[in-house]
Amino acid sequence: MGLKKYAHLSVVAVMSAITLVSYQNCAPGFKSIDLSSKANPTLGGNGLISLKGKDFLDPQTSIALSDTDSLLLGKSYQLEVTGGSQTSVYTWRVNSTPVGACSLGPGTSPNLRSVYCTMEGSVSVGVNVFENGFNLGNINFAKTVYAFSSLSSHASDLYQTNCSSCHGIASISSKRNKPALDIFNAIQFIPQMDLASLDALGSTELRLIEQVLNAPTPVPTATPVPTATPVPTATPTPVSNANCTFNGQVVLHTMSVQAYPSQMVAFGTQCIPQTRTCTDGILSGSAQYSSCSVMPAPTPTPTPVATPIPTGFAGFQTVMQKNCNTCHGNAGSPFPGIVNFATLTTEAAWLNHLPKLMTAGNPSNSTVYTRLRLAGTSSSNNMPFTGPSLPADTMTQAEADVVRNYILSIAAPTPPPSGSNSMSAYSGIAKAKMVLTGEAVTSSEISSVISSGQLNSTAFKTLIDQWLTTPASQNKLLDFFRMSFHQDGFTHEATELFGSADGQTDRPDYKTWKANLEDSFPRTALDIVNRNRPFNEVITTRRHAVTTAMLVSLSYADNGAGGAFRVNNPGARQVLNFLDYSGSTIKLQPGDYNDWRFVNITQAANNQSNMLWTNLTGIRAVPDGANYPLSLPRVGFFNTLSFQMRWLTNMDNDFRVTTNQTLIGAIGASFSPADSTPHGTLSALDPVHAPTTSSCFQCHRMMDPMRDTFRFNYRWSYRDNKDTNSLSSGSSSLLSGAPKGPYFAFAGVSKPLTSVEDLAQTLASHPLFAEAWTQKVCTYANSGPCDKNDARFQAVAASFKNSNYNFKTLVRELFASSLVSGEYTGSNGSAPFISAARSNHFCHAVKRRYLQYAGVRGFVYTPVSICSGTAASRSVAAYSALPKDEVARGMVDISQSPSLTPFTFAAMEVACEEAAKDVAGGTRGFPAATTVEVSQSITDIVTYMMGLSTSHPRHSMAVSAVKSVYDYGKSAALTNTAAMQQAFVFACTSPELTGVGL
Amino acid sequence: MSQNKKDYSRREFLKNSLALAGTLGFRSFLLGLPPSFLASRAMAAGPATYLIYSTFSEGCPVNANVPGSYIPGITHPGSLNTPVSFSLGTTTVQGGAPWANLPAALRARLQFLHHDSRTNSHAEGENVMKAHGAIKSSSGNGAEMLPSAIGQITKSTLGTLSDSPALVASIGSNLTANSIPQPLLAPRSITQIFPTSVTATTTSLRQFRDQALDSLYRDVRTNGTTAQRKFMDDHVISAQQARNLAGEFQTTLSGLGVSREKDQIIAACALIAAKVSPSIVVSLPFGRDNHSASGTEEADTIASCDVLAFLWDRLNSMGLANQTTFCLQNVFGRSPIANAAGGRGHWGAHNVAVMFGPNVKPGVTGSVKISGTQGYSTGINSVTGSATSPDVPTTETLGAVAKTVMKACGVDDTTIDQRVSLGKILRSAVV
Repeated sequence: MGLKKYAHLSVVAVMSAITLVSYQNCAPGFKSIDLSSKANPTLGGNGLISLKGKDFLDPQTSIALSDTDSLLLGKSYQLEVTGGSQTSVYTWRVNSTPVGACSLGPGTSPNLRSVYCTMEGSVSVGVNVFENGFNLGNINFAKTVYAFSSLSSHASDLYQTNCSSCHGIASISSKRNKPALDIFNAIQFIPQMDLASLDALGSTELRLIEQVLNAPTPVPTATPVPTATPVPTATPTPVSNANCTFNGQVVLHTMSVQAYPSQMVAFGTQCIPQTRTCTDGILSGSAQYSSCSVMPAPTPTPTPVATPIPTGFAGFQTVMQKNCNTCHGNAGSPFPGIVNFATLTTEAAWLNHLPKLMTAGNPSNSTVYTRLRLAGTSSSNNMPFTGPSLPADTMTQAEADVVRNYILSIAAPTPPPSGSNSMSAYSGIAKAKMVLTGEAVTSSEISSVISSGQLNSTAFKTLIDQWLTTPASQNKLLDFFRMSFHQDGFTHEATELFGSADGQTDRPDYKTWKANLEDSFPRTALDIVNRNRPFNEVITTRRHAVTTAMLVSLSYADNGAGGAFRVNNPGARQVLNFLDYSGSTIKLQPGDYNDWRFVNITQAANNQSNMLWTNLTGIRAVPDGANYPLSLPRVGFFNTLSFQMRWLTNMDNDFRVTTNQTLIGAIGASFSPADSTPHGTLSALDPVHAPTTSSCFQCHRMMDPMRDTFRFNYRWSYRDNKDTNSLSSGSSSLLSGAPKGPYFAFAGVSKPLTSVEDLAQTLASHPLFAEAWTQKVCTYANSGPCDKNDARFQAVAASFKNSNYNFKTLVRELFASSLVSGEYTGSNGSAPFISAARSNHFCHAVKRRYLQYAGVRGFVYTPVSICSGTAASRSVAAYSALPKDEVARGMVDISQSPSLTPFTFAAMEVACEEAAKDVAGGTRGFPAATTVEVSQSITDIVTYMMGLSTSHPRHSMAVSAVKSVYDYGKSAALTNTAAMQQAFVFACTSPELTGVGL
Repeated sequence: MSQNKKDYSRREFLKNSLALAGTLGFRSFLLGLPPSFLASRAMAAGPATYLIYSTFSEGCPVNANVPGSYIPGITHPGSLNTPVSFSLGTTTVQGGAPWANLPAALRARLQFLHHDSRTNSHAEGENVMKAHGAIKSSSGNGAEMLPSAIGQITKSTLGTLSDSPALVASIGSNLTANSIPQPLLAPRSITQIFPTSVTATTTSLRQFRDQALDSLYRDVRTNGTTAQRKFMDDHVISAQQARNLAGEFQTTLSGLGVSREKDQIIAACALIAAKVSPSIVVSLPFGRDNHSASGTEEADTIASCDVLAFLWDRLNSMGLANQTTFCLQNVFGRSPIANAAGGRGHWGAHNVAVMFGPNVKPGVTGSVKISGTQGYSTGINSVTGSATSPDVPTTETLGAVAKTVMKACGVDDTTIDQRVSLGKILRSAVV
């Protein structure tokens, strides 16, 4: 036919000839298309629409036709609609006049269809796209299309040229009814078909060959009986030989086509063909589709059924045993070269025969699948065989799909790199970075610290130092400090300090204010770390990170004229009335919660704060580095507002909780009757609470004198004990009174105390400090307390102490130690514990890794649905169901839930599913519109979300696994976007993120 | 290497068992029992019961207003100061009106256990749950918390997914099982993470993700460290358990959002119905940390007794009343005689556990007596429940309470004596 003429008409020329230009006016056999809006116009806001010229076998490939593309006569083309859930009705139009319906090809899902159209003439192309019955609009994305016919003798030529020599002529071909996919697979996998000419066949050509092979077999025309003398009729009546058309194809008179009432039927059902015969222009029957396919088989749902088919290897094994072992399951297998399946009792045994029996992740290249009758490769060689001596073939489609899905699920095993410690080093680095930053380890980082599978400790320490300077790490440290210094989680019961908050805690400004209080000291501690100051300054520092709101709050709680104001202005008694007190100038503005700076809270000389809390203008003007005198001793972490509001005391408790929690926070220890440190004066001992003869005395002899220290300054409400103005009646009961005999006796240190500041200095110099903070960080890293007697632990603690308590040194030495991440030998039982990631790690890591990816790929978006969102969102619900690291009253160690439970996993899965909607498969990340994008996104998901860079031994396996998830999503009728979201969820719920230390 | 192969085979066996028998198969593999055995009614008809265990580290004055505490000298706030006569089964007692208002059928299996918890600090909640170390772990080494120990014993009989307790409320301290802190599960989050309906497509996609994940980490399972293999097993099992729980809460969580306390009850009953855990831990307030004034003591008592009635109704409506034991046990009681401010201090010397269930005998066991300026628990006659001829000294009453709760949950005497080294079963409190 000479159709392959690749000249084309210019757009302008075509435009000028629109509507009246027949295709004969163009070069014969040559068709052209002008896609002036080829940039994938938006479809009703719900998806994308694009034209595809080829490669329908690979739906991920989207090749938009450009102005210079040509359509070839004799070929069919497809229109691909992705996104949304379009159901049908695509119409080719000529100047808004429909000229013929297009037929929907089988496609891979309702959302990804091939559309075949046939017409003649010069047309404009418009597409009516309907979604669930609603017309989403007529998108006129091609202004001029020259007509083309769908099926011509070109198809026959193709078959004749490429196939007939082996398979005979089309009408009696041994491959009758073969689908294009099988032809494609055959070309790919059958050695005899490994020919360049066949490889060159595009999907369009394969589709045409399919049509030839599926065309109805011509009914042999009876040999005409010659008549000697034809009897002429007087008036010949024209014989009506009108042909029919069916979906754009001409059906000759008396000929039949095979049609289907539905183009796609549910999994488990069958396509029921209907033969439609053309008789004098009338086509019998009503089935309107020329093809039909069965929906991809979903994995059986877990809905309890009588005898569910197991999935995974168990299912595979079951199916094979049931259907194959009659022939293949004995030593005398009648099929030479085939393995005796009965000997393959474990998955590993099957996988030892990977190349022969199956190809990991590729059912189409797996003999155990392709030979199945129900694999869609109908052939006389398909199995299970039946016969007189063989059982009936009872294999079901579901069983075949179990085999297929299992093969899909197999990731090609990659042997671990050489070096006994190779996996160990990767795990150690990943764990350290997960805990310290949440981010993914990069290839360059791996190459900088791992050589021949061995970890270079020096380089690793350098890497840790670098991590500590990153925003991700700083953020993580803030979270750690917030918890470790007991600054978070207070409930507003401090009515004597700030009045009642009843009905106000849901106010946005209250939440912001609370966050200010909780964040203040963590920022202070981080500043100490970043300035390389001795970390024990966290106990003694008077330099605090504050906002205007913080300073107002501190002054409000302090002694001074402001106290009188509180009493004399009942309205101001209500909590946070300084936030929006209508009195005049004391309403805080949004900026007052965000103007962080550092001030030195000095001891007011006259025991009265110099700055009234109502002096907003003055407080706002307090510069960074200024002194801010207050009466109350805001020393270290244990005199902050948030610490005090977390650990409320009262007349019975009498600062005991304050004291105990101070010890726990500062030096990681609590009172014990086993502590034999001699006590000093017992004048502060409560003889009723803890008589000297009671078992309680052993602790209270130390605790009561120590807590007496707080009486220097505080009432039980933590307000200034010199402030005679009270917020409530009965003020005398709220006075703790003067100190009776403050004394420090604890863990080998025994000395009298003169002030809260003295207590701070004593704690800061306590010999337990280095060990305590080594343990706090180690516990945080390992999700459980470390053995203090371990030599490695002691070495780290010593390094910390010898560095003058440099926190970075502590972190560096600890995380580089095998205590946390150095070596995973696994042989001596010393491998660090691997825990579930609590929300502290999980949420942070998901968010940081997305941001890490977005930064590399240039997405400018802050995810909103990772463990956060509106109060009623699933994301927030999932977050609330995730275990959290936290401190509890009287507990020295962090409370951590290191075990995965079904609820934890389900919560993580929901969090991931919600996050996926936000950041995967669309314009915010991990795009999936084209094959290139899909491939890149899958790699990115593995690299960033799973944290398995290309240098990681699991990288390639993970890519295969993620791709299989994406592919499965596509096979389950998902859009590209939704399938990519599935890939994201897979990564997000993988042990790389749900666990710490894998 | 052989160890790896062994783990691998075991794991595959578990998976196979799971897949072969659906939900029943899942429970089967966890239990090591054949599905057919689990499916038999004989298995469910055993004496073991679920446990709903309430505890609160604030320490509430529940001890001051219950039957047995209405003796001269003990302080009762507000309307609680007027005792009401009511029946506990066939026994008539006097107590606060909220207790009298409980349904008679509940009161017919309601028991008050007066005892000494030997605690005075909020931080000692864990010690109480461990009976100061008297409750031993399953290996006999170390201590175990009461709801965890009971779960470890009754799990196989009840056929639950886990033997660890499910925590549905913050109790102010750690809840551990095998020394591992258990996560808090907020009741209202359950409906979100286990939506009432999951589409077949979603189910299919999740299953495929599980398969793909299983394949991807095959190398870790075979070549990883012990810790890595253990974590991967946990991961797979957790995912499968989550899959099996999907749809379990379609109706059983109805009514969430009424109140914090009732939400806990709803969640507890739902988790029991779903056979998640043998023991569910909740936290009901009965007056809280009321040092300086009586505070919420009266209101809390009324409200929490209403919650107990709600629990009773819920259990009955779900057919769980005869399979569930409730026990309330706080870190300490509060001083029976109020202080000058009208409040109460920490007081472990008199604590009261409240218990009801199918194996619970109604009544009052143990007692309080005034000595000097405060009330103290007495020793207990384990047969009669009185202070006369006590065979359980005061110092062992906490252990005796632990044993008695175990007994109420259907644990046999031999096992009880193996797991709890202190005190005796208080026969007066159990049938």
